[in-house]
Amino acid sequence: MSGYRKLSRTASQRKALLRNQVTALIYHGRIITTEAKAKETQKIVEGLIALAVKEKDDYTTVKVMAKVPRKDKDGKRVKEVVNGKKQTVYDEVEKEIRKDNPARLHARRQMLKMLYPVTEVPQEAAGRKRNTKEVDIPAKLFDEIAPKYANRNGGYTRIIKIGQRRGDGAMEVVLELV
Amino acid sequence: MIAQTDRLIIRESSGRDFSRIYCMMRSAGEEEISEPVPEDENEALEIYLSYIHTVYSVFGFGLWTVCLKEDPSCIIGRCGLEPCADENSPLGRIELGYLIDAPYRRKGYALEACRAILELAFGALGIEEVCARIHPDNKASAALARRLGFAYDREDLWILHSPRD
Repeated sequence: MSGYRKLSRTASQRKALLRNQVTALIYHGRIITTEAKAKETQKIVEGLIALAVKEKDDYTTVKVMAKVPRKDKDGKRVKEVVNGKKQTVYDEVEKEIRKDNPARLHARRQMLKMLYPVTEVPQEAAGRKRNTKEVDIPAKLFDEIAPKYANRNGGYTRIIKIGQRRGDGAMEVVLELV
Repeated sequence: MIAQTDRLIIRESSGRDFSRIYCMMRSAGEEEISEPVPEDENEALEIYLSYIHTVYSVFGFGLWTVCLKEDPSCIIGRCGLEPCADENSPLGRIELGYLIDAPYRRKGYALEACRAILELAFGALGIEEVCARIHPDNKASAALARRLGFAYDREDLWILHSPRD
């Protein structure tokens, strides 16, 4: 028997499906799918979480100078006229950032190989475009999920059977983070 | 108890309801019930108990038992909301399921129970979209879905959006 399920799909379709499922599970914490798909997704997610747990504290904090546009009380950028041209005024501020050590940077890139980008679009119509944001899923793995599982050796996910699918009778399950 | 209507009580199913529900499911026609019902009663009981044990606790809803208000020991059917896998969404979709035993049909019980369940779904449970899968030959079920406000979507799928949308 081969080491993985083909899920009745070609290699590219299978990879797309699993990337979708993995991303959704990490983003939402729970997905509903069939047992076969869940077992394949589980294998990948367990690996990603183990990676996040291993590398969660492998960074150095460094101070950098950042150029930040000066804003007035309405939140609008302050402009000044230089040589007859309107230009934004910038302030130099010191910022503390976390810089990945090489192993963590590699882990982040390994994760990004499997994860799809997620965009969060707010429900309300007002300010929908302004408030649409790209979600940093590796950051979620490192900062939210990994600390919860620091003392756990594997078994970060669980499969709960919820019944047979109508039609073809495939077992439907909930795959969730423990 | 989940909900109460003029004539019905909707409550969580328990192990004691099994024999009645199993009889009902076995006697239902192929187009009325699309999930497979095992011929072996013990196997069916195992599936039923594991369903009650997991689905209610994980989601807070599932298929419930419907009984008459005037005689709560009289189980007339099973209605409720079921989480199902969906090809297009990893979060799955919520399906409305209803089965009323043959002697109690054509009395408006299903409509009454489903209205109460949909009110709960769109209100307290905050669900935004409910689907129903109906066999093309099941005309009565399709008529009920239409009365509840469901719109035909594709193949055997009917959809109802939350009235707030």
